[in-house]
Amino acid sequence: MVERRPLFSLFCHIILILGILSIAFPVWVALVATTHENTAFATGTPLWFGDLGFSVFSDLLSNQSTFNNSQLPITQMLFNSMVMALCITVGKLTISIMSAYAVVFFRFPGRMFAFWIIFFTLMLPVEVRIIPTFEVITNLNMLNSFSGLTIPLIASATATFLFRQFFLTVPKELFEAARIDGAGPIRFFIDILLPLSRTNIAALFVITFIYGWNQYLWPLLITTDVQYYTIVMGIKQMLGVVDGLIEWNKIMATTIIAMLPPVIVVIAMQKAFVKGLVDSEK
Amino acid sequence: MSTLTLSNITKSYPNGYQAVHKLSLNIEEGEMVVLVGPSGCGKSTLLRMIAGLEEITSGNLKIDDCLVNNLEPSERDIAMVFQNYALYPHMSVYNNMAYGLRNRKTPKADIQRIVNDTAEMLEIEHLLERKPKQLSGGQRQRVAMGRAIVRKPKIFLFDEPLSNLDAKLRVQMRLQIKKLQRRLATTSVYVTHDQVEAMTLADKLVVLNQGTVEQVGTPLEIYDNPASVFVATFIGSPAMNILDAKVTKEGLQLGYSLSPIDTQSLKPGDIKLGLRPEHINIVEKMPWFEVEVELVESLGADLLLYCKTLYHKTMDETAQSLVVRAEGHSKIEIGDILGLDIDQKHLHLFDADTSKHINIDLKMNSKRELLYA
Repeated sequence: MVERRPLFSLFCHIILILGILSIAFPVWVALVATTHENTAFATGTPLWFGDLGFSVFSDLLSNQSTFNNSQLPITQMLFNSMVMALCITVGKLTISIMSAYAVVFFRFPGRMFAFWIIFFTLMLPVEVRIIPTFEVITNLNMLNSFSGLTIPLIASATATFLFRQFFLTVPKELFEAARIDGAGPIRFFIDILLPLSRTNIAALFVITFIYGWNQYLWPLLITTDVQYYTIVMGIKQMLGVVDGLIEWNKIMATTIIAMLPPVIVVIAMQKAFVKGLVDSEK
Repeated sequence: MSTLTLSNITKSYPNGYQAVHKLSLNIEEGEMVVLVGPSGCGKSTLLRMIAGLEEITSGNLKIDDCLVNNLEPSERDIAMVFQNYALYPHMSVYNNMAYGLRNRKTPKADIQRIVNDTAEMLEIEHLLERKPKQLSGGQRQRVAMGRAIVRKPKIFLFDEPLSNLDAKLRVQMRLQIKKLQRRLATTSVYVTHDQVEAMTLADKLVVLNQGTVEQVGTPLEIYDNPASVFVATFIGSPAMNILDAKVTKEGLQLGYSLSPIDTQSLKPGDIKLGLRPEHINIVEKMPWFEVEVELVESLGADLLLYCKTLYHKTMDETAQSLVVRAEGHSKIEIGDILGLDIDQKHLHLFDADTSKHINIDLKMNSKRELLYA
């Protein structure tokens, strides 16, 4: 809108404030809940801070607390989630950037066939192929292991496709100039292509890290050992109470902790992002 | 200082298209050879084959008598300047120029000395720390040249390096390339579609058409003696006029106008005449033929007259158009009728079927005066 009408901007602000409230309110409730005794939730949801302060957090992080007498080690779960998200992210980026490089810059028999096969897997996300994938992982004895958690999620058509589109915009003269300058395919990839794709890598890193961190269904299926629980699925385990009170204050604290790493990644990467966008090099 | 020998070079693509057909060419030491031709004539493909960026389907390519057909571009010891410069966008000017040397494991101190010397020669030493995107077109062009020069290659290859520059800069860079090439005395192959660039830069001009060599020679040789209608119309600006005419016993017949040229040695029938705009004279008396001026273009020093032959009014033949170059301040306007004549030593004859040049000395017919009586 080019026009500036006071009523209209008031309207816009109201919409924006409503949006922010609807996003921020659950976070607020979670934050407030961490400061109350568990008994407070029987009478309703508290909307202002209680008197526990950070003690729930410190109990959780020192692994002293139990959920209805079962041990759910928060730090271990955080570590597992971190390993899983990072492995998926690094694996995805590595594999997709290399396959996109092969598909775009080289001519070999079956090149387009390979590309279409990769493209085709776009139609088969984890949820669709979950039973055969589970079967394969079981037969490979990869249940309850980090390799089982990460490897099936590494292959990615989306990332390959994104890099392919970017590589297609790189002038082929650059490749030829590098060849004349005595840089082989690997040198060209490391010296020229990777630095050029910095911003794309940063963007994909953010997206994939959050994707990996938020994985729920897959870890739920293949882990039965607490040692390999990830934090996102761990929260669900905390809710599974047979009899007794659900410990909302601890659950909310765990949720807040689980939320932090993606937020940090987004904020940290945003800088690289914006920098890359501002002095875009092409 | 190196020689480059191409013998029977052919490039054909899997779909059967032949871009270059059995092309042979010798390039001497320190020579600046310009490949010129319309788009699609195979000149860029040829250059890329010399560079090693395209495979050679058949034929031999030799640098200094050493067969290089199957060598990688970097092993051929050539350097290339691309049309879009192909500078590495994320590297500084210094790194752009040093990259090739680093890959060759040149000692660091040497790299620094060579790059600085080259930058000084090209007057870009104050730009060494900048990124390509912070440079103007002309500066990028010079960096691209610098990147080629630092390697001290056996052969320079230029792929239309000036076509992304504006007209004024193009003239400047043209001069600079010429000076540099003289100074470095490195064998160079230069591809362009611009015939002015070709004429001014070349020691040896190679006119290409549809993947074959039409003519090789110095720019002036080609201008004075074009081997075919194609070369005649391609080299020279504005292009040479080609007119359809007939050889009769009495002389060359253009429409109803008979030229007083001795045609004893020509076989009667159709023929093509080539007349350069600058060699046509406007005469008051005894013209060879008459034209009507359709359009006048003033270039300052010269006047270009776009004319149409007038004989169609009396004979059943279509009018032919031609361009005449006149003195800049001539008072000629659209619609004027002009009488034209040409000195016979500037008249080119081409075979009507093969379009090849017919090499004979033309003589004036002694009956010239009688014809006009």
